[in-house]
Amino acid sequence: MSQYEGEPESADETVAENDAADSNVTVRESVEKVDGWGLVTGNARYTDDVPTDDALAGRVLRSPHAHARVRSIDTEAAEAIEGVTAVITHEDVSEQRFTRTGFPHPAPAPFDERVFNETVRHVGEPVAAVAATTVDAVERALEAIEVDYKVLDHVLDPEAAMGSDTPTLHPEEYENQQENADPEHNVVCETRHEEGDIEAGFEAADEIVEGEYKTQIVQQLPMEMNTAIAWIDDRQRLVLRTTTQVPHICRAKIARAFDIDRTDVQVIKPRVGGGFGVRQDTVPIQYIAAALALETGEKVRLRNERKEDLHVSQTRHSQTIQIKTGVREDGTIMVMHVDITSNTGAYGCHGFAVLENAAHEPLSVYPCENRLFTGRAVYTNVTPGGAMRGYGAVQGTFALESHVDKVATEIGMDPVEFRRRNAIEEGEASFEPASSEAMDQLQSVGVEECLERACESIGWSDGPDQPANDRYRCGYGTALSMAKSGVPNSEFSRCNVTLETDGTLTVRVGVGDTGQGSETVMGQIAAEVFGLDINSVHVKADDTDATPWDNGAYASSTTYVSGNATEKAARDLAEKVRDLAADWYDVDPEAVELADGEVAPPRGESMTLSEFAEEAFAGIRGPKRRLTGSGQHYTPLSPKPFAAQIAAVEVDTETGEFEVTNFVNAVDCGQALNPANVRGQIIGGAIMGLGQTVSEAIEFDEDGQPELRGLRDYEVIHATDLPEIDTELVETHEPTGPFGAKSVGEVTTLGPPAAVANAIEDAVGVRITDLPITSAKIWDALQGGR
Amino acid sequence: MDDEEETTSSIHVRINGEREQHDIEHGETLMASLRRAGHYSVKNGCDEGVCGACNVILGERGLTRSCLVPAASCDGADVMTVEGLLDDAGNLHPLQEEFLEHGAAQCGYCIPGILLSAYDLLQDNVNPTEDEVANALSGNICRCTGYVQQIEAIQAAADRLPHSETAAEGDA
Repeated sequence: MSQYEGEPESADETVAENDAADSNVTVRESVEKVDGWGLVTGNARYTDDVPTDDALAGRVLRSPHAHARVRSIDTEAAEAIEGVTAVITHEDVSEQRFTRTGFPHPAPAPFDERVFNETVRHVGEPVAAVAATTVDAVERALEAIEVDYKVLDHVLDPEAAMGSDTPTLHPEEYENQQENADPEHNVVCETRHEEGDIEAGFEAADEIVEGEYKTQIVQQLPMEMNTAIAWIDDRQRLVLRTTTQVPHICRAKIARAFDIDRTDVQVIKPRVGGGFGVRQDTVPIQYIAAALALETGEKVRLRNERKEDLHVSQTRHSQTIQIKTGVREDGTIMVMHVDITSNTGAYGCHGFAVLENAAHEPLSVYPCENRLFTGRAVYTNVTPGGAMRGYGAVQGTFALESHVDKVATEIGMDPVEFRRRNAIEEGEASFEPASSEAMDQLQSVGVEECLERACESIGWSDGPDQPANDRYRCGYGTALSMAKSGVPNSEFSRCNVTLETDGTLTVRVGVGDTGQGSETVMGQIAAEVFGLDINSVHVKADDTDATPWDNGAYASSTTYVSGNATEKAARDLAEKVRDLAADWYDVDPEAVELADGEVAPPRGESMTLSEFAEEAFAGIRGPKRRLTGSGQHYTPLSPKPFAAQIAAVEVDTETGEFEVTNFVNAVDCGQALNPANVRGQIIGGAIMGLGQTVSEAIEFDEDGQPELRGLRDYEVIHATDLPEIDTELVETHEPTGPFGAKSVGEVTTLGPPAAVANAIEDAVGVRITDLPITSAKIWDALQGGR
Repeated sequence: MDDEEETTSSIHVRINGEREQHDIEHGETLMASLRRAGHYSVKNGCDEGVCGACNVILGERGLTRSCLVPAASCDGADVMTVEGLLDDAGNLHPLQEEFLEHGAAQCGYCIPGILLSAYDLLQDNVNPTEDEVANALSGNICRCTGYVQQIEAIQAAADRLPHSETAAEGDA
């Protein structure tokens, strides 16, 4: 990173509190996105929006079997086809195993895969890849590859997978096994976290309530398909232009997989058409594009078709969640035991971390004395589970918030009142995984106010108006949720801010903006420190060569972690500006004011930052000076955003058909640095959660084939499906956040499934415990009750 | 396999008023030929006519999913892409301004297609209700925004257009 102008990193980790401009020029304002013009004019360039006439066409040959060993691959006929430049298989790539999982090395995931595996473990797994000068040649070559498979028994159900009579997916030893792994029985990890005294808790309880909940497999489905263009540059370095939300981690993983120096890999992340977690991992086509470029020395373009992406991209894990709760008649939760079996599919990827999150985040909302979490992640022969917005907590929140309603019903208490009595308050601790190094005492907790605001918005205490025709019944249901602001002691961000000769700022920070507006927020933060307009700041974030390390976009980390780094870098630069001004005017640096884009010494005339920069660079008052600031952030803290969500539904008791008529989101994200964008995250997250609630599902037939012909079979929410939506910002102030902010990207995805399930129970007295909630399930349940 | 390369031909099209000649490949869709000619605002979100990211306004046919139209059938056609929304001086269309104002574009990938759906709606309906806007967007998938701010932006743009009843009559 020596290409930067500037001075050594400041060791000062403290963030000054008092020198921010009070006028809030950009922060807490809904400034337009810095990339907005390109987005609305069609000028934004995504990975595939560049000419690739000079690129070889790449394609992947995929396994038709859910579980098979590749006995042999004959590529001779394929290689002989005119225009075919390379055919690669497992024989051409390193035998070193790794994980695609996009955390800094070593990720909390087993090293259980290669670029191509000799044993394929799900339908669609890459077996070989071809690069050729024409698409036609590639397609013919794919057909000409002869693969001799020894088809193995497969297993799709995680309970069955743990049995003794089922195939072992990963019989070979692998490194980086997770807690209590038992690969022979397909157990990726088994975890247990106990606090207090569970037995005593149940003994002290007046009622014990048990329930089982199930969630389905869904997919992130960003609108841009996973794409990679790879080439070797004129310094013989490997360059990837690709759809990623973690460019620096992608670079590190590619370099490690191919044993190349980090400095010999560059990842360019142009505009990216959504992420939602799937781009946290370095996906197979990214490795394969790199392998083909290294093999051929030429530029290679590889892009999944939509159907291919639907079949093979990592998914949200399906889970079976059992909960047993002990409660007193007065509504005090005495004990909770949550047990989760999580289906991680063919590879371990996020198996462990998603499992941990699934219980710890939802349970944090109810800090009872005695809690036990037991769980396991299990291999099966389906597409691997990955990271998806909510990261396990969607599943856990559906189960726990459904169960909390069930418990409230059992003791005859209003579910909102029951939540009020038990919900977490400021100063209490979150329930952190044993492996977490988080300092867990929370300094900003607005969950109760969120609940009040949501109830006011919908009119909870009055209940819904019932239609005159009693065939139709209405109901309200609520759910609370909590997310995080980064993985404690894992996220790391560094930012450099340069004062240009005209007083504008260039901010270099490696955030992974996939549309959520991270670059805009970084720009706002830097501008705010100087009281500058957002247009005076350029944020450079799209290239690992031009930005220092940042973990990228996952775990709702960017505004909090990268935002803190950016604020520190801007303040470091501000300090240098004050020092130099103090030198010029022979005053104390502390006395130099920096606000509204002006530098004001205590005596003499203030000057604009632009005038100041010009003079500094011209050397009018002393040696020529070029000023840069830098900052970094690494923290054991992960402040928690909260939400209270309420769904209103109307159910047709004769058919089970239902409609979500209203949906309220009340959210505590600390201070909203860009209220319009925050609202967009809140609504977008809730609608994604609603899709999982009512329609989205990826299912596999008995052979492990995904039952999707294409996007037409994957039912997302459309504009015509929307309920009436209300959004309430409950702004707390997080003292450790940049300008008081926490995160907001994931928290509203968590509540919709339980809020809708609870509303249906309120309306017609049946509880749907497996997602998605369909008319057929409601009708069946209504029949059962008759 | 037959030698398909031999079957390439070319079509004449007007893209946002500019005459262009595109060499097209056998079986190529309009979406593919537009993108190959550098019109990258036409997005490929599914290639199966479901997501609306490749929407264009195709002459008399109006709003069209360009991934479902053979390029060979477009000889002589007038095609409008999102770039056609800009005025001659390069200024943004009210729809585009309102999308920015309302934070209605997140990743932006669906936005060209959605803007063209909205433009198509406003051609026939100068004062659409919320439901009418939602209907107009029913053929578009946006995975980021949840559509709400887009619907608000489209209604705000309608209010600003000169022929809008609301603009003419005030809030009455």
